Amino acid sequence: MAKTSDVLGEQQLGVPAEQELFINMGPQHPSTHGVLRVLLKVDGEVVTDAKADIGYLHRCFEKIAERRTVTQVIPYTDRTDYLAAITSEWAFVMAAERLMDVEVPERAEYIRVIVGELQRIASHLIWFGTFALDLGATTVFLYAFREREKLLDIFQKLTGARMLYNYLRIGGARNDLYDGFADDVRRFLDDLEDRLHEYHTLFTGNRIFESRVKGIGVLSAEDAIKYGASGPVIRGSGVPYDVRKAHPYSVYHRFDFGIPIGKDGDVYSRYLVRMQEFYESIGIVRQALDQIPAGDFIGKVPRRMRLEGDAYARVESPRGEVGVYIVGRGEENAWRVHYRSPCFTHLQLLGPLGVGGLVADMVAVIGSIDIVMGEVDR
Amino acid sequence: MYEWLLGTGMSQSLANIIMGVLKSLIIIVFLAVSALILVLMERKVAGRIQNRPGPNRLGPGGMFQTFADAIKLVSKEDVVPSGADKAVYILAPLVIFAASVALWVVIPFGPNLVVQDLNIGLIYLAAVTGINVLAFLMAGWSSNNKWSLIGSMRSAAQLVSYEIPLVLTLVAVGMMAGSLRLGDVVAAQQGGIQNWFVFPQIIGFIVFVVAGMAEANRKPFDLPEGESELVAGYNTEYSGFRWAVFFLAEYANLIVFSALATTFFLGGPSGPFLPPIVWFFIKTYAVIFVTMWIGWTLPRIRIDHLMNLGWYVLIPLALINLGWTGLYVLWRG
Amino acid sequence: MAEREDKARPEGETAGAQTFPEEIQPVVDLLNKHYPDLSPAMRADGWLEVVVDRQQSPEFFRFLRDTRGLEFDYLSDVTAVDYEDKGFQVVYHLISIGLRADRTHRRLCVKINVPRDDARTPSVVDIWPTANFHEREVYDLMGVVFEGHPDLRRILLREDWVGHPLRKDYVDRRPPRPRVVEKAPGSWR
Repeated sequence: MAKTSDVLGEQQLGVPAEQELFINMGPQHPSTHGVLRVLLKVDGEVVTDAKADIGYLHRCFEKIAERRTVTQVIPYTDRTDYLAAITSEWAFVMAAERLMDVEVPERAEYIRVIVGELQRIASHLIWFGTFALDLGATTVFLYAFREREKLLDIFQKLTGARMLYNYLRIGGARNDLYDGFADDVRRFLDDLEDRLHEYHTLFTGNRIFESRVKGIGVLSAEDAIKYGASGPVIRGSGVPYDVRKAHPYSVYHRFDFGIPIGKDGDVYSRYLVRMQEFYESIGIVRQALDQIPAGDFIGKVPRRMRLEGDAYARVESPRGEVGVYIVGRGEENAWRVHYRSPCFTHLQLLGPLGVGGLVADMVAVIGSIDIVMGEVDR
Repeated sequence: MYEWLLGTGMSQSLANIIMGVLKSLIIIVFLAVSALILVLMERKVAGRIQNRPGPNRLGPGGMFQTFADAIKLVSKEDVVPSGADKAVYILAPLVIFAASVALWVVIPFGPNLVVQDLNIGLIYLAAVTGINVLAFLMAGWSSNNKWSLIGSMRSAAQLVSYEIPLVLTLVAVGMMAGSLRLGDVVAAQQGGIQNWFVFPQIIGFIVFVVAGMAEANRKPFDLPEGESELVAGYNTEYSGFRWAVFFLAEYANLIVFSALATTFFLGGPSGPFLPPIVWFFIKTYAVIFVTMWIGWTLPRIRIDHLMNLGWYVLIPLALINLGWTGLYVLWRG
Repeated sequence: MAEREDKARPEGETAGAQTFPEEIQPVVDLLNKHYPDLSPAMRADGWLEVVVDRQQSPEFFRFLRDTRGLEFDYLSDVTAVDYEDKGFQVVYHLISIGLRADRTHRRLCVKINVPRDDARTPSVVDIWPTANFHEREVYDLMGVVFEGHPDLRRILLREDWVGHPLRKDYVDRRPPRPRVVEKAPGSWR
C-alpha cells in the first residue's frame, strides 16, 4: 500500500530508480528552519534530486493588505521576515513614501539605519547559532543567543517589543531614541566584537567544521545571477551586488562600509560573508551614532494618506533583497501590495546546490541560505 | 558470601546460582544509579560549557531532575507505530540493554570485586561490543520509518568500522600484560603511576578513547541519532519507557568504555591513600568528563569523513601502536 | 556627497516629450532605436517603465537581456495586478548587475497587459530561470497562465484549491466545515 507522501513524491520527482529512496524532509524537521518540506530522492546517502515544497505558512498577507490602510499594514510586514522585522517594515514604508512623495527627516533616516543595522546583527546571530546547531555544535547556538538577548533588551527599551517591533511609520519612526540609547548600543558593540573573536576561535577554524562546509553547495556567479539570488548568497559567489551600494537608499551613501564578497561560492564562503557583515554593520552603527543630527523623528505626513500610482522599493535585508511593490488607485487602502521575498527565490537553489551531495550536506546548504518561512509564504 | 552460603548446607550449584543472581542485581542497580548520575552530570557539564546553569530547580543543584524525568518517561503512553515489526521493535531496547550489562561482567572494580574474572576477558569484550550493532539495526528497521532506517544504516557502518581499531588496541594491551584476563592487566599496572600502560601506549590510549566515543555514539560521532539531520535517527519512533532504555543504554556504554579506558591504560582500581574502588570511580569519571567536554565543543562529523577517520587514520595508528608495544615488550625483556 | 537615487522625479514634463536623468538616457535611446513605438516613462520611485504587448514579449525580453548597453541579467520580481475591467497587468522588475560594485546598475520595469478572459502570457523561465517560482505564484494566486513554463502548478496553496484568491472577484466557495462536538469518554458533563 503506497503511502500518501510517497505518491506525492513520485508525482513531483519521478518514480525512484532501483536503488533510490524517496524521503520527505518533512514540514516538521529540526533543520528546516520553519515549515519547509524538501522532497529528496536519495541513493544511499547521496541526494539525486531535491525540490522544495512551500505554502505551509501562507497567511494571505497580500490579500489582507488590500483591506487595511498603509499604517495598518506595517505590523503585518513585521511578520513576514520575523527575524529581520525592521527591514521588512522599511521596504514597505519606503515604497509608500515614494508613492506619496513624503519627505523623511534626516534624524529619522539615521534612526532607521541604526535600527536596521542592529537588526542585521540580531538576524545574523540567529543564523549563526542555528547554522552551528544544524552542524552539531550545540554550544555555539547558546553563545549566539546570549548576545542576542542583550540586543533584544535594547530593542525592547526602544520600541517596546523584542522581536516584532511595529516601529517604522510612513515618514519616520514611531518614537525617538531614548536617552542612553547611544551608550547602550556602543557598549553592546564593543562586547560583540570580543565575542566574535571568540566564535571564530571556537567554530570557524575547526577542522570538522571546515570539512563539512568547504566545497559544499557551490554556486557559480553566473548561476547566482540567473537564479535571482541576492544578499549573502550572491555575494558568496563573488558578485558584489548589495542594494545599499547599487541603489543607495536612505542615508547609506554617507557611510564608509565595505561589502564582503566570497571567493568560491560554497557554504563556507557564504558563512564567511555573513561573519564579515557583522563587522561592517558594527562600523555603520558606530558612524551613524556619531553623525546623527538632532531633529524630528517623523516628517510631515498628510492626515489621510491616499495612494496613487505604483512604486517598487528594495532594501538589503540580512537575507537578501526585499522588495515591496505597492499599487494605489486613489484610496487609503492599497490596491495591490506585493512582497518580494529573497528566500522564496533562493529556495529554487535547493535542487542545483543539493544534488550530488549527502543528506548532511543538504542540511548545511539550507542553513547557508538562511531561510525564514514567514517571508517565503507570507 | 559464597562460603557463608555453603556453610548453611546448600548444594554448590544452588549457591553458585544465588551468587550469580546477586552479582547481576548489583551490576544492574549500579548501572541504573550511575546512568542517573551521568544524565545529570552531562546536563550540568553541557550547561556550564554553554554558559548556563543546567538543571537547578529540582533539589539542591538539580539532583532530582533525573528522577523526575524517569517518572515522566515511565508514565507515558506506550506507542508502537502502525506498520512496525512489533516483535523486533519491542526487543531492540532489550538487546541493547543486555549488551551493555554484559560488558560489566569482566570489569574489575577492586582487588576482589569482579563479577567473573574470565581468563579470556579481552576476547569476551571484543565479542560483546558487537551485539550493539545488532540492536541498532533492529531498532531502525522495525520502526517502519525511512529516517530511522538511514540512522541505523549509519550506525551499523560506524560501529563495525570502529570495532577494528578498538580491538587492535586491546591486542596491544594484552601483549603488555602478558594475559587476556583483566585482573592480570590491572595487576601489571600496580606499583605506581610509572607502570600505567598509558605511558608506553599513549597512541593506543588516544585511539581507544576516540574509538570508544564512536562506539558509544557520543558527540561528535553521534550520527546515528544526529538530531538536527535525522530528527533522532534510529530513535525517532521510540518514546516513553522504550526510549528511556535506549538512553540508559547509551550512558551505560559511555561509562563502560570509560571504565575500560581506566582499566587498560590508567591503572584500574589502584592508587595511594583511598580505597581502590574509589580510585576506580575517580579515574572513570575523569575520562567521562573529558569525553563530554570534547563532545560539547566540536561540531558533528559527516559520515564519509567518519569512515575516513576510522579506516585511514585510526587503524594505521592502532597498528603503529601494536608494533611499538611489541618492540617495547621485547626491550623490557 | 552623492545623491540618493530613489528620488528621480523628472523636472518639468512637457506634453509628449519627457526628460530623463542622464544615467537613464542611454537606455531610453537604445529602446527607442529598436522599439520606436514603445514610450518609456519615468515612474515616481525612480524606475523607468515601459508597457509591452504580450506577443512581442519573448523577443523583447531576450533583447533586454542580450543587448550590449542593456544587459538586464537579473530579474528581481514578477508579479501581477488585477485591474478589474482593464484586465490583469503582469509586472516585471529587471536590473542589470553584471559584476560591478558601483552604481551603474540599470533598472527597468516592464508591464504586460493581459485581458481578463484570456489570461495567458509567454513564460520567461528560459530567459531568467529565477522566474520559475515567481510565475508559479502568480498563476496560483492570480490565475495568469504562463505558456512554456516547465512546471506550472500551485505553489503556496494546496494542490486541490479551487479559484485564485488574489483576484478582486474571488469568492470563497469552500463549504463550511461541520462542527462536531464529541463528549470525551468519562467526562463530567
